[in-house]
Amino acid sequence: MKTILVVEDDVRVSKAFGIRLRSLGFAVQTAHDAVTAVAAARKYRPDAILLDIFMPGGDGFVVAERLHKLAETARTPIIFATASKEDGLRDRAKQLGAVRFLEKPFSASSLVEAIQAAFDPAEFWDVNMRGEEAWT
Amino acid sequence: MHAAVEDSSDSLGKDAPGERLRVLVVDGNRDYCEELAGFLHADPSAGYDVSIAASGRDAVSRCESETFDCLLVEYRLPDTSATGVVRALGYDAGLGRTPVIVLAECGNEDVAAEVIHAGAADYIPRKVASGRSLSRAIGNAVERSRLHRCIEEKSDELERANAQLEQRCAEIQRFYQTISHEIKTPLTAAREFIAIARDGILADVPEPVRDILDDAVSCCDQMADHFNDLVECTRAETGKLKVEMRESRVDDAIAGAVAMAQPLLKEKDVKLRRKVARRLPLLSMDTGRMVQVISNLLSNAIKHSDPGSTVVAFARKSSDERYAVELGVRDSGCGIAADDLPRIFDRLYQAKTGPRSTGEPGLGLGLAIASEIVALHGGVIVAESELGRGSTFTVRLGPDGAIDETRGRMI
Repeated sequence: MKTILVVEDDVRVSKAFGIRLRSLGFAVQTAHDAVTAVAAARKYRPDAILLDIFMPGGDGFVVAERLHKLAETARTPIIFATASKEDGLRDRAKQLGAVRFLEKPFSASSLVEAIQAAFDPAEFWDVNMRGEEAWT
Repeated sequence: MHAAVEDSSDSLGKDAPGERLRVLVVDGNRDYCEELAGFLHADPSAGYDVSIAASGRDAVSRCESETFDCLLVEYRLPDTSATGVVRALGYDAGLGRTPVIVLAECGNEDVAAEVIHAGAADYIPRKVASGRSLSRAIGNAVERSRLHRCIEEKSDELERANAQLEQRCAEIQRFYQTISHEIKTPLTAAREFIAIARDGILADVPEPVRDILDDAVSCCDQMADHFNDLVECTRAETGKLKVEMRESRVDDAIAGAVAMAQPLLKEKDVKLRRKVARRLPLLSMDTGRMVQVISNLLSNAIKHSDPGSTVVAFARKSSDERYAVELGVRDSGCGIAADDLPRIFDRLYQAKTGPRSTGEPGLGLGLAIASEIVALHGGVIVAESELGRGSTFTVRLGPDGAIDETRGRMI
């Protein structure tokens, strides 16, 4: 069974994503801030990470950068999720080699598509090889 | 305000009766200076405090330490010309403040042109200088100088006010963005919980319950769309909406919008026809944004059409020679009243005629955003409509010409 790490500071959103992901057949770990997120990623070695961007005490980009520097998490696929419409977030996520960038609220089918993309070796791009095709 | 006829009761250049103008007379010949001072003092219509300087250097140095309302400067000075004084006072750098009237014992049109060009306020040949004409010239020069300063001050005030307004706009835009983000977070949780309940993940759900939960989910999605529109619209209004122009195929905008319209077409039982001309030139365009525009037009057209009818999405060379290409949407639905037509691109405009299906009405921002995007492309968007017959929305693009596909050059 694959494991998804849900990084989200709002506990209700985290709970909702957890229920949904378990119903899809995944094991779920949760973290509510940047520091715990990195620790959890190293400990649980998730198969993918659903990563909120804006969290107090450190945003999702900081988490992604940190994970890229650690051997054990450098290749973990990341799906960014955010309720913000700020300019440049999508580009930054791309730069960090994310697999998908989801705008909250999103449907279960968007989540499923993103996770499928995360597990598809053809879709996942190494941080050093930025691909355009993953992005529509 | 200035009498054309000499009038001893003229009070020229004085802000208030009793104001005394400070005049510096500059001439190497001391006797002449005193004569001039005499003229001025004798003028009953004005009061002057007259000072004297004997050289250009002396004059400039006194101007640095004292304030004068006006200078009367002889063109030929012992150490320089009046032009030199004018320049030294900063007129060559646009910083001159005290008006300079140049008197010339012997001068001509060239001298006149030279001093005026350098920044002097006036030029008077000595032989026509009299007490009154001098007084009038001084009055004119002082008034003009004061008006000029007034305009400068107002201009600065306006600039500062504008800068403040821009800052305030940016603050408001950020505020909307923050609010939108804050609200969409619990909205995300609510939407997902309702969807989870609807999908029977935690417990079986009877069909009637599933139906209303489905409606609840679409309400949540609609709320999210509203907030997104709100942020987009404030961004458009504060000039923060950006487009990334790239060499693009026009029919990509149509194709993208048509794809997004499929669910709505099915829901409303409306058909779509594409009329895309062949061999359309490439254009400089932000395809993503143009898809947004055509999508908006399509969705309006579909919502205002009767079930079973057809909407047309078209792209063709522009009939208006100022543009390269036009694309848009035509429907045969309820149309827009002539009274409403001028306002449809305004924010919050809602059609008063026509059906409003449940769960459909937007905030009325779509066309406002669309028109901003088109404007950023240097294009125009035009609406034509007839009540009961239908509407056509046309976007004309390519004001700089099209990019020739075969040769890769602008045509």
